[in-house]
Amino acid sequence: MTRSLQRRTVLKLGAAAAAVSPGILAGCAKVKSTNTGAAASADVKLPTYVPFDGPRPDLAGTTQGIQPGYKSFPKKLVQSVKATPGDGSKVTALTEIWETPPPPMGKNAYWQEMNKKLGVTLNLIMGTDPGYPDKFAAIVAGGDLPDLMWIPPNQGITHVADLLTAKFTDLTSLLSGDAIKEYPNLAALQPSAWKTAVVDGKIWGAPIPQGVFGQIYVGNNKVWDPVGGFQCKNADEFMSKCKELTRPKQNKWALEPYYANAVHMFGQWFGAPNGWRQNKDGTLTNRFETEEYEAAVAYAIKLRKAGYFYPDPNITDSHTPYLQGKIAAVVQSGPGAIGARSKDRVADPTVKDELLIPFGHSGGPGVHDLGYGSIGYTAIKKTDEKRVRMLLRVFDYLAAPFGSSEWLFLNYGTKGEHFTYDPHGAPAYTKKGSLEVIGVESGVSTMCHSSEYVYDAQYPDDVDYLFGIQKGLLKVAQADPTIGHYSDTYTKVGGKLTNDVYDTVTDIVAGRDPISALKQAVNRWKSGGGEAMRKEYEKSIGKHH
Amino acid sequence: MTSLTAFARPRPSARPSWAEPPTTLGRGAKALILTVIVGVVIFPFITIISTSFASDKQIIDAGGYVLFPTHPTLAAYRAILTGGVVTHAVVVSVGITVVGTLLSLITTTGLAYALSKPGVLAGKPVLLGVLFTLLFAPGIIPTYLVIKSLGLLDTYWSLILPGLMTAFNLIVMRAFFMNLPRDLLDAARIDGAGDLTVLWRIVLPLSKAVIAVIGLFYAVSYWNSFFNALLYLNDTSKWPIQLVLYTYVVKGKSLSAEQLGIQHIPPPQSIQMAVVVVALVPIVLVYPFLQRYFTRGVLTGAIKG
Repeated sequence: MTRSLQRRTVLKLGAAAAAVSPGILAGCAKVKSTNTGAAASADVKLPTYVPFDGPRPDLAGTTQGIQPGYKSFPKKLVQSVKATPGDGSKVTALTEIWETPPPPMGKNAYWQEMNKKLGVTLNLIMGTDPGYPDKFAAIVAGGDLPDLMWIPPNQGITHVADLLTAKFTDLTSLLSGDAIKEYPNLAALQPSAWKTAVVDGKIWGAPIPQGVFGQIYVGNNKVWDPVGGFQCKNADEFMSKCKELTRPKQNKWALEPYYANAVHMFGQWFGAPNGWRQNKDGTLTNRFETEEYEAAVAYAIKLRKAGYFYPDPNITDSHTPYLQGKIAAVVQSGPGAIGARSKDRVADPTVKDELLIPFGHSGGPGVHDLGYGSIGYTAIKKTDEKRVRMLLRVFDYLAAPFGSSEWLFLNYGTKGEHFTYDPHGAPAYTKKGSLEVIGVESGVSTMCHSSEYVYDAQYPDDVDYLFGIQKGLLKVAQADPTIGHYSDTYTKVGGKLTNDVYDTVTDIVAGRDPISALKQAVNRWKSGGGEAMRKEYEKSIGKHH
Repeated sequence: MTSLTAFARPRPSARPSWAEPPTTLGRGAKALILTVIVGVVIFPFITIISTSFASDKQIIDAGGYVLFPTHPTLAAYRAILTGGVVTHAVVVSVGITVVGTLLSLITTTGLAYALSKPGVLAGKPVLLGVLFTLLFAPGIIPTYLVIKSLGLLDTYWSLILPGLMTAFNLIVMRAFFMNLPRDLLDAARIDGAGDLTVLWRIVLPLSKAVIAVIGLFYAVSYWNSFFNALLYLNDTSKWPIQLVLYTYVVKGKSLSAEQLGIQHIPPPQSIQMAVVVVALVPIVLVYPFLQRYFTRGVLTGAIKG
């Protein structure tokens, strides 16, 4: 239970990332606001970043995206919210839960206490995934919107820009630049997270930070150590290690069989762009069109033909065989990968997950495709400014950072009732706490929560390890140049088009299609909307540079 | 003599005299095929039940699913039943299923009986209206708007009323009623019975089979109520078992035990399977009681419909 804080948060976000991804697992790197009606985040001044002045982390984070590391639970917590934010009114919020539903408010002491602390009666409408877009659409069609609505990036909610303009509050004047300082916990959110909340050059909500990292290969150290470790210098070395690890007779395989994700990883070694590449003349080339991506597909075919992928491509759970050592490496979303060690230590304390830093296919560094930095934002229904400010203060409470007393309450409830301190000095749920807190907290943290952090009191060395890995990933990181720019076509068909190409890639790697099918798939992608997306992005980028 | 007796009192199940006796090979092949089919049907059930009782270690060793638990444990059931969420959801589902099925049967029987009688006022247009819903089902949003404007959001009625009567069931039942002997109904009318008496005393007792089958169709659809609950119920304490089951199986996979605050974490797979068993058992228990009507009812509806 000691490490449940970090593990839980990270898992939840991992799940969110997986849910919003177009691919089989997580395409965090590819998660992009479907709406980004963002004529440009470039046009709007993002909220000023003011780091939380709380307990010092053992390893300081950076604004580039390295998460602060804590090797023990802070002994002295800081009160980050000075006054009760609410005005005693009722607030309804549409959100999503990633857990089993909690007991209702009337029977939930934690929920009631949260209402007291927030100064509002918080009615949560809890959606699930899949199903959230249907519920969202139905509620919007019903016309009677809740005060707050979570708008996820890529679950298929369309026409977001129009909806925001018609029904929600433009928060730009209240949050942009130094105005954010009125809400110190919101000001402490990583700058990368805010970009999602910008649509048509305006800020529409409080973001839900997710960390900046995209998909990462995670390896079981117990399997990789005997062949010289998971880190490699080039693609040949990786391949020869895969060869050593694959033992079909012992039911052991090097890689999980989700080919599209694997090709994304290999693409980083071959230098494929993160979504789009901006050429010198300002034009854009999609990664699917590049030689590098095709080379990654060819490399995947080689590995598949050599038999290094787990043989059943329809396997639904690769995690159990991974822990058993039957699959040596799996692809995880950024938050999932960073939380993987902590999570897997619970199942097997001797497993130390290794995160692969991309290398160049023929040596040198590779690239790491950054993710989008958030899992969406929560917008406020049109109302008077006084109420908007009150709701922003509620967000401010929910964004309370690790090391604040508000964070402890939100994540663990009331001391003695919902949690006690374990021998490591870390909070651990009581039976009542685990029942009452987790479901509600899952819902409110999907509305807004603090920036990411790495915390592990039981295995402090893991904090050092993950700090180093994040540094290594950032060194070779590449961002998607279209993030923060708007493509109407992308909002409508982007996800489907990407999935179509992924399907073809899967067929090619599986041997059902020749590699020439990739070109045909890319042509379909172009005519289906790819060209239109390119033009729209080029126009948007050109306008703001 | 023997043959004469057999001739005089043939056993209903006996083979017709003109049929050849089956060869041993044929019988063997039939037995084999049936065994395989039964095996294919039963295998997932046994796997689900076994896995729900299996220990953590065994599940990990077996790679996810277990056929014969070597060290059976009730940990998974203890885990899901302590929270109260699952038990409450089962009660909700049972309530919706019982009330919904009763109401559905009452309304479907009533309308089917009326529409089965020739010359009923506006019978044709009503029937056409019903058939229209078979061809053009309302979409999610129009239905949501109706539910909302009726003030049914967040009520159990939102799970019952939208599916109160389905056109298919109505047509099947109407076809059954239409094939009841006309003379029997006329005799009752001559004896002075009104429509309700005829329905209650004559038609319904003759229609047990079709009522059992249609009732089962309704019950299963209420029991499986998932999407309506997802859309219409904001209060999670009203969620039926299928929705809760879904959050267990799809979500927080490895977190369920942690959420329940138990020190020994049962394998997530066993928790998932235990929830599946909890969701399956009540509706499966209904089948044996309806079985004797079931074949007859389905056949009647199918052939005469």
